[in-house]
Amino acid sequence: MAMRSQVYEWDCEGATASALVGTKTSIFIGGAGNNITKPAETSATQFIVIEDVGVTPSEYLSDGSITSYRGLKLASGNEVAGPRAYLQVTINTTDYFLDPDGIGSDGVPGTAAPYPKTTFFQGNFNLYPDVYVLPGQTFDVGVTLYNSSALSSTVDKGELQAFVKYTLYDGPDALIANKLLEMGVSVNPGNVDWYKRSLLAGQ
Amino acid sequence: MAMRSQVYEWANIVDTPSNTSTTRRKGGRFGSFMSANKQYSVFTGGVGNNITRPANTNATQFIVIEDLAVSPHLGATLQVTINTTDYFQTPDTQIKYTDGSFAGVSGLASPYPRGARQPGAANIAPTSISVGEGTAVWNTFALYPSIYVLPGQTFDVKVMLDTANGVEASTTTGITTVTSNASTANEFTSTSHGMAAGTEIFVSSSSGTTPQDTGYYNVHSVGANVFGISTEQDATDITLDADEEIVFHQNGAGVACFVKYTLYDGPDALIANKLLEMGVTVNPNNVDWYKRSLLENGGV
Repeated sequence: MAMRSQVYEWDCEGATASALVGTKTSIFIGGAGNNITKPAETSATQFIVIEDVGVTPSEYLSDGSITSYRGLKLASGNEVAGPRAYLQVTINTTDYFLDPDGIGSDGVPGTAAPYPKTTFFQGNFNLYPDVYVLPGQTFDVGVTLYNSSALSSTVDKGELQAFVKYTLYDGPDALIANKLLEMGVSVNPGNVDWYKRSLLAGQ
Repeated sequence: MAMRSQVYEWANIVDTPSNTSTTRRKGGRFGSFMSANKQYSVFTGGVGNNITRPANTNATQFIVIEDLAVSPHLGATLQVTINTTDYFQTPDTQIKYTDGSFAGVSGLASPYPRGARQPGAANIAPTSISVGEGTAVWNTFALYPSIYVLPGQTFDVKVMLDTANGVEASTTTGITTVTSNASTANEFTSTSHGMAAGTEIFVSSSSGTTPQDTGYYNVHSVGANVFGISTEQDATDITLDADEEIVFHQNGAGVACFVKYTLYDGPDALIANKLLEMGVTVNPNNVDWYKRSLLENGGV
């Protein structure tokens, strides 16, 4: 179990939509939708690489009489179809995504990193370079939204979702991941295998 | 945190029409007014969500802008400005076309979102679900080579529409029936205010014998001696007094843009500069390669 591809999907079903507006809600322990039992963290022998993130997309339009647009709710007179949701990654207490003035932003918009990806929402963003969570660090993924009118007052399943793809390196592979980091080599399964082969070849 | 993938999204959506911009996003639904053929900074342009100061790099930062995208309607284009120099130019090295529009990457070439509906014409917003239904605009344009913002430089991203979006705050005086001042002051019953039946307006202030509440209204009827509006909750026309004066805003379409860049900080910014001197493309792979080269050569 040295390297494992892992995913986490969050669905905000059952939460009160109006309570989510303008507030960053942890998808792990935020008290909305499916959660886990404690904050996400790495142990001393683990190394995590977050490789992809996504959240329910939105689209900016003209208002009209329609109430649904490509599977997203569109309230009457509203210029935004969908929840206008953003996803931020926090390592320990530091927000990963910043505005150009250096202040922590809301994060990646779902419009740029949609979940799910569809014909109409292909995504403009790829998370490269990846985000590293070093041994002993805690990490969190928070979702902020600004258009609760695109959600049911009690959020229905599928109306607001988020997705995180990461690789968990454990034990010896976590040590190798640290070594690669020191060497300035990107940490990915291919490079970890390459380092192992190099060690074996050197014996 | 030496290399970080960063994003910035701008939209003209604000919480209330009398508030054309905010430094942080707020819940809201109103598409701010934007003039035709005018460039708005997405960072400090005073429309939509902005940041606290112009974007710049400090002495230990290096930015590589890797992707730009904008809504594919209303003839939207994006321009990048480094210090005072615009990046995209016309073939005759100008920054404007002869029709007054500015050079830049259009939303049809680099749409946001990727897969957005194609408007009925390049310069209009998709107002009906039947227009462009089933279409998806994908990117024709890729920002390669990327744009470098060197240490100490300021940069800006400007959005321009070739079609006006919404109506700026306007004051209208008038009456619902013809009176002695109808010929001079009865603006409600003329069409000069630009409102039509079906238009949604936001009244930000009102004066007269019976001022209207601030809020959203629907225009029901506009014609000779007729002007009827109602609140969105109650479809019954409101009787306007002869001395009624309203300041109204007309909702514009939502327009958004997206910028993806990588921020190199500290030692990685120094390496980025070194790569630039060497003529090597600055990207995370090459920065890693340079670090490995240093390690292999015992340079550090």
